[in-house]
Amino acid sequence: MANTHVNAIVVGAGAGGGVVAKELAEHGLSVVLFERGGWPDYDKHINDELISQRTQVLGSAFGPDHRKHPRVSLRDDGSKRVVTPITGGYGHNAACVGSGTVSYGAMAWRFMPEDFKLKSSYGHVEGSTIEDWPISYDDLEPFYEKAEWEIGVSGDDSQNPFAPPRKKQQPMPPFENNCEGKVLAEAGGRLGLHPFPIPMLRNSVPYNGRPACIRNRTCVGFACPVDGKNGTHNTVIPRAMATGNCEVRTHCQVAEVMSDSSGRATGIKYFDGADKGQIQTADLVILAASATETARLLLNSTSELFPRGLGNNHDWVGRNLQGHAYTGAVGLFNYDIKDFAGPGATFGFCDFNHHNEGIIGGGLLCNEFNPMPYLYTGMRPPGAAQWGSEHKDFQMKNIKRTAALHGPIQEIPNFDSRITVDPSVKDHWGIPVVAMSGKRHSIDYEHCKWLSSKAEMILKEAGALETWQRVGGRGLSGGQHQAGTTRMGNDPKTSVCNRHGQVHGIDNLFVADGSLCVTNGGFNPVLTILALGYWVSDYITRNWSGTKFKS
Amino acid sequence: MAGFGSILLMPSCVTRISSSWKFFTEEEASCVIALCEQIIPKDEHGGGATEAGVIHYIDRQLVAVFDYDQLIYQKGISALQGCCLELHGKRFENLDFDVQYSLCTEMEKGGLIRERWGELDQVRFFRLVISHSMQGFYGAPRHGGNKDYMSYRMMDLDFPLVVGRNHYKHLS
Ligand SMILES: Cc1cc2nc3c(=O)[nH]c(=O)nc-3n(C[C@H](O)[C@H](O)[C@H](O)COP(=O)(O)OP(=O)(O)OC[C@H]3O[C@@H](n4cnc5c(N)ncnc54)[C@H](O)[C@@H]3O)c2cc1C
Ligand code: SF4
Repeated sequence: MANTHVNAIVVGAGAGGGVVAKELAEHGLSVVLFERGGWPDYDKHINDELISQRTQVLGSAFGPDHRKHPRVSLRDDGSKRVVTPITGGYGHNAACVGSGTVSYGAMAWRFMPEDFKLKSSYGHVEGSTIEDWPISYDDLEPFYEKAEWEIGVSGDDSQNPFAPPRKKQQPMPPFENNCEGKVLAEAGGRLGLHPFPIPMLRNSVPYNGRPACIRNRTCVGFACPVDGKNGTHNTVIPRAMATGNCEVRTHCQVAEVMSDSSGRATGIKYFDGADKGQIQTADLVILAASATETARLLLNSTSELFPRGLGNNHDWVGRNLQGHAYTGAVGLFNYDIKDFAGPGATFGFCDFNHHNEGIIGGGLLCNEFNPMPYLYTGMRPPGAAQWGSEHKDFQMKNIKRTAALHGPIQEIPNFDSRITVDPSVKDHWGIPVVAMSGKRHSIDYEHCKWLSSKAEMILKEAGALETWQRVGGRGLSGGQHQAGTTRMGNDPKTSVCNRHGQVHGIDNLFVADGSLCVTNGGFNPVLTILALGYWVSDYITRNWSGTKFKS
Repeated sequence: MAGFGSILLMPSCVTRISSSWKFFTEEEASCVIALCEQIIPKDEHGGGATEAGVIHYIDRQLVAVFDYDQLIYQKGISALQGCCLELHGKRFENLDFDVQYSLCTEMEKGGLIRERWGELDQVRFFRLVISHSMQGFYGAPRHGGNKDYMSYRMMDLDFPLVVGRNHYKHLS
């Protein structure tokens, strides 16, 4: 039996998609929210480091299934490697209702006004596609606020002198610093820096009918055992369902977007949980499958009018793939500086975001999420033993004596860092898969070295006996903070979507996830993606009349 | 070399049947147990890889998630044994701990007899066993290693999760 026609299809029940489904359903549109994974289940993956979302050597706790979803990693010399979540180099987020918002570290940053105008603030950078967003911080501000209140954020921006202007305080008070945080924040203060508590999408007090965080040791990479961490799976998606207008269709792999001879979207083709091919038609299609998978969907949706994929007549779909190079330093102390209260990361410095001589953008520095034991086996100073009694002794003596400061550097986008689809490698359903290629702009590594040296300086001031830098910034981009592959812009020749997330030239096809981000800030991106979900929905609902969408 | 090569091609199909392991032959398992103990030895903090059952972790995963690593284990063990026999006249697991240690140090640098390894990179093999040993020793016990949260106890980490509520006593 054919599926009943609906007003809107949302592909991907992650950060952006969850928000859009709720906003449209509350506005009275009938919505089907498609998700390739299932509902997350805490009990399946209790404290199991090897199957978490941070270390996935035995699988991804929250998807995707490594047996069904291969990808391709293309090297400079043209050779390719098939990768899966367990091989590493796969660069994914998650695949379940909520996606990354189930198992994330939950840092809730607003980008700074400068992040939306990178090019006009710093000028052109050779070899890059640096650009301003077609929207400003002020445009997005009300939607940041909405995200903070509807999903739930604990924080106090008044302690951060670099925080962007806001109209309303975050809804919950900030979390307290842990032992390590206190020591490092004080050291930063002595150096003239400005430490403040990290805004978190976790409950510092009971909120929205769910309890406060109990600060267990493991948080990032896992679901929360008390449901004190806020994602789309326990906020907006249940609210969308409660309207009676939204059906969440899980375990459905969307293959392509269908379009008619006038170029408008008509619906999607997908494979249901029994691997059966299905069709769902709708008045509107909104893609929120994450920066890699949204690009793949568009590229796999070819038609006479769009022979290279929907929205891709100017070859911008999949381009400007960004993420965040993480960079920082590690210090060893002669006492137990870690108390292992969860989640570990408690405070940050924004002193290195913007307005630093010679640096374009910059990045945040924070203390780290608690390392799990296996992850810690790789945290050693350069030249230290990788095995044997010396390695084991280090582990036992130092796991509580190690503190790290690190952060995401603002990447400078480039045209060749990109997603394409591989013509020969197919997923479980026979759909061509994501191929990742290109590399970060060489300037990112310079910025990383700079930020790592700052991190090391603070650790030294804090009294670390030994310090070493971990410098990121080279190689393939993308990953958990993937963004930029269908960038917004006013010129259809140099962007994929307009300022409302609407694909240029296709009035009923939208993107509402990290793919929209023109640049990716020097901050973890999820709050910006959630805000973009509200921003895109606002435009859709304002222009929706009856059963037809008018642009 | 020729005889050695043919052993490689017929990776103990016969003995495998009578083995008590899911993947390894008894001989292969003895070698890997000794190798893992080198990587995570028993010391003043407590037991090492052997006591934690790291071999169970590796053996189990080699017929599951790590099935694509089967060949590298078979070839790697065989090459390592070839080196040990040539250099010391004994299999790896029968050598003194200190001799094993220096062999591992050589393997880490790629310094064991090249010809014995053919196409296989000895450094890659050793690194693979290192990561698998670390996973088995420091990962969740439900995968076969880290018996009774042995390594967690040595690190004095609270179990299961909430700081200040150490539940180990309920386990033992
Ligand atoms: C361990 C971890 C820690 C993190 N920590 C932080 C943090 O502290 N702060 C922060 O800001 N960010 C963090 N992130 C990143 C954050 O989760 C992502 O930035 C965010 O979820 C991206 O939103 P999105 O809407 O672009 O895509 P996603 O949230 O990934 O949503 C995409 C969804 O689409 C589904 N999908 C994809 N393709 C298809 C298809 N063909 N058919 C059907 N469904 C499909 C996917 O399964 C997925 O559920 C973290 C992520 C992880 C994994
Ligand atoms: S620290 Fe633990 S209790 Fe707190 S939000 Fe994270 S998972 Fe939940």
